[in-house]
Amino acid sequence: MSDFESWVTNWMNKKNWKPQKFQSDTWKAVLSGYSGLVNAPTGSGKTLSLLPPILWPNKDCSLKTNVFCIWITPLRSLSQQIRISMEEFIDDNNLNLTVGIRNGDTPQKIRNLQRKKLPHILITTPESLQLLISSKDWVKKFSFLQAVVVDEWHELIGSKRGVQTELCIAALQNLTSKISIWGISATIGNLKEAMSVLLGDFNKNEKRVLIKSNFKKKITVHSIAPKEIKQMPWRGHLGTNLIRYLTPVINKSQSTLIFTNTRSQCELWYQKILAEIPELAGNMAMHHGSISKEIRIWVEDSLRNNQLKVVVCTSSLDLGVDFHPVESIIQIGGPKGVARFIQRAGRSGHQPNKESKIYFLPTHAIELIECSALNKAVQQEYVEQRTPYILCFDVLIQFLISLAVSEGFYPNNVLNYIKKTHAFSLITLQEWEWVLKNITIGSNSLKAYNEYKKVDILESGLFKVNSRLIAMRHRLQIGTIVSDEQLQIKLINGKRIGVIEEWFISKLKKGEVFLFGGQFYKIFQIKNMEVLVKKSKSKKGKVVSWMGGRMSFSSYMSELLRNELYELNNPQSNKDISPLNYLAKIQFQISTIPKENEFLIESFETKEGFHTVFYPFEGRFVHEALSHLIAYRISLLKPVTFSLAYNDYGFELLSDEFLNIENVLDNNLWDESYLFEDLNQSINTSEMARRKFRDIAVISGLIFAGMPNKRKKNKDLQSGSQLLFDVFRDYEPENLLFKQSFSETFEYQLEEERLRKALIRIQKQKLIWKKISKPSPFSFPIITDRLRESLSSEQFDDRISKMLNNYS
Amino acid sequence: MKTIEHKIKNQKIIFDYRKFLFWEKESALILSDVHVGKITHFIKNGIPLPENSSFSNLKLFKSIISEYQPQKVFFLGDLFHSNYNSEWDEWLSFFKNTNIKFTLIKGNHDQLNHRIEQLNIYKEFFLPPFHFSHFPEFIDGKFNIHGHIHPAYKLTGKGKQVLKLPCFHICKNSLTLPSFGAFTGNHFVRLENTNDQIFILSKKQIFKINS
Repeated sequence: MSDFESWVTNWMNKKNWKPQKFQSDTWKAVLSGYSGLVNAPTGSGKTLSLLPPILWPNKDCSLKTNVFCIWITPLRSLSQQIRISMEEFIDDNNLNLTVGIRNGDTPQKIRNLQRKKLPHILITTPESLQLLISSKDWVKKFSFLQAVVVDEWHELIGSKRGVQTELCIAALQNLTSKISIWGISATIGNLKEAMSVLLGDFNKNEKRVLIKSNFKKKITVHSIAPKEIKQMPWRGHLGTNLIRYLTPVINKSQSTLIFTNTRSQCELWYQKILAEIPELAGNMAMHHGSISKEIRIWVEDSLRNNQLKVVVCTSSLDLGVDFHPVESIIQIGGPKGVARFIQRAGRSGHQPNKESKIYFLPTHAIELIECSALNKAVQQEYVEQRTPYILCFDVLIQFLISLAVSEGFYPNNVLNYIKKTHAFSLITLQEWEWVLKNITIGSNSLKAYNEYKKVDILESGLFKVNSRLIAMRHRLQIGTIVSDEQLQIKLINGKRIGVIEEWFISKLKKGEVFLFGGQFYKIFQIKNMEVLVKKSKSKKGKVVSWMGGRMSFSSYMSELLRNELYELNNPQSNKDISPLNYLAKIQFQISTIPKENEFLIESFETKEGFHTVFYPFEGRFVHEALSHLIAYRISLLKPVTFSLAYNDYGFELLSDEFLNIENVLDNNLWDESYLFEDLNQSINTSEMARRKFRDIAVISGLIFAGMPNKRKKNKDLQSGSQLLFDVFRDYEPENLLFKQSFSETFEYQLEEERLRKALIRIQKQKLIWKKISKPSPFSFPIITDRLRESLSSEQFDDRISKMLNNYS
Repeated sequence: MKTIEHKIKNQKIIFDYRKFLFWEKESALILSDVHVGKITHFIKNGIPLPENSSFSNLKLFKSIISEYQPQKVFFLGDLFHSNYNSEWDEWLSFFKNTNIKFTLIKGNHDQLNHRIEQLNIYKEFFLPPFHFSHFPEFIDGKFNIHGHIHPAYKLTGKGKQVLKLPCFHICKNSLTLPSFGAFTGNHFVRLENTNDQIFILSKKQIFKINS
């Protein structure tokens, strides 16, 4: 046994732990200078697979030594836990090493200390790492760096934060070639790709390895559903009338984590559970992304210390933190993906070999099918892939300005290393030159526009930001998570409670009451991006809601779901599906349930207009694209205006006149040729690319969200992304950022390949058109969806005249 | 329709789909919230917008002037977006080279740090029977014509159709103008009283909403 191994094993023995094979394999790989990816689930000791061998060569290092390891986590809430387990190891081994956290929650005092010297091990987020790179003397600070670890890489890889991480790592690799890069990832469908995206094209000598733990966790899924379907709501996502079915689970468990899909659902369930089980007061808390950091940290600590019995949360508590005490997990509503569901299940029974139990509570009738499908997925251990983003010019611009703000950069040097990242390996010289031009001389100016101020080119050829104002504004902007305009909620005494989106508060008036963080508040005043509130004794109020973050079924989940659905045709006594028989009966009475070779379309009229509902069962994103495609193709046949709605099961075209399906069907409606062209046209006439543009505009700095507490001063520079979108469309359609909003819509939102497969499948099916007198159970969740888009082939002014007729 | 003729306080006012008023008796063209220099202000501050997008406002304004041939033009505030920048120059030289009398009511965006001889600048003014201001102001018995709000209206129709359109908003004692500038946002207004009137504007026409 080597010195190193006996060192670690001794320590583990004292804790009654045994090194697992994936741990000792990783130790060896790290010590021999490899980079790679460790595939291990939460609670398996993944931190210990990487920490000891990274510390080993540094264990005698002096307090003055600079940071040698950067540990990146996607969520701030993970940092605390990681630090605690690192410090435990360090203290037990009497090492003189420091561990520090740097993220959005780090207080100013500690930031100032870190400005002088960074800790040996720095736990941070991708955004904060980029911020460090945009500060002066970062090159010096990171010159001693030996290892970068990206924890929960699977959470980052399918997002722009992944691209941000790739770029930051590339810049660090460029400083010193000795750095080894490690990722830790839960199981996803494309682990190999995940590794090569993380490592990029840097260590050519192939010193890279993928290490998989053979850690298997037994997961059991229990559905909590009423025996009688009559008690199930047909639509909506709240389902709070099912609360009494939760009570027994909560009562018999020492501690319970309840996952909801949205923040408003989280608020609502918290309130209802408290009303149902009042003795939980003081033992129950809520955790979601908009709650202030003090409260979030308190909840996390209390969970860890076994002080809470119930926590209602959103995906904000999705990831790795080891809360040993959690006994039961409850998932409310469909989790939309198998990987997510398994991960949530993994939050209970954390000790190895212990069984994880997850309870599933469907919030409306059709989710019963989802429950049954999930159960199968868990047993078959299938998980989805995460697709990495490429060529995000918005993220690249943000990154380049960061470099220009701190020490400046030479373009050739940067191009050299960003071409080694996965995200920008395909960047063309023209694109690169466009980006440089964009940050130095501005947009499509014909003449050099001397008023533009951003990045200056010094005589030496160095690209540098000299304006302090630009630098300050940039630092405030860093980050790739975009949400709607946020307002601070504060008590009158100044205590911060959290943030709320502007569009929600704009619907409320002074004196109105709303529910936030489990407490009712009355609006006292809205001023300077702050909402001043007073606690209210009222027991009723509006539930805060947030726009972002609707998830879609993965293609695998959709397939499982379709199969479950087809089975409804032959009722059986499957435990999950039996309450569904009643639903199936009504669906049969009003309309029908399609068989495997059938495709169902329903038409009916309500006072809202004429509904045509299609059921491909392909997941929300595919339906979004399909609804636009089909609406566009129909609109070519005659002037018509559609309002579109879609969910994971199907989509609806709502119009002000009857749509005769027989007349439109034989026009190659489902043809997969010209898919690209038709989709392009339909996107042009709809809002999809516009919505993507919002994120792009914020990330690339086109929209300045303002400085905290200094809102007024910057009012001159505020504008909506909608206006900017129009300006580019009308005056500079070749702008790469503008074009990116379309390519993103295509590649990540619409999933063209999935769509093509869906069309080919539908073509082979027999179409069944049901003209029915009232909405069927299947149609209910779709037609009541409030998030809608429109697509029209009517003359704009004709539409106005037609609508005005309704007013008289 | 391209225009609507409407009487307020016995004065004949022409409402044009291009977002301005023409008061016949005074031969006055009235418009608000042009935000000249906004694009350039963004560019100056490191936000790379296409520069040629700043020309459309003036081009439209010139064509309206030659069509209506007014003797006076009233700008009801926010003619300029922020501090002086090069985008102002073409407007100022246009003001200089006509015989039209230009009047500006200073708005919250007008940072008039640049000497402007071509404009008469006021905080507000009365020209019976109207009281002109930038912000809405309610003085008993006076009919207030103002800007600032950038009003728009949400038109709804069957099949959950919604269209958002800029509008003129006429209440009992006030008239709100839409923003003239092409690069400006909106604020939604509703028909609150039965006597309120809203004229909505498309790129080609003006429409009256029956209340």
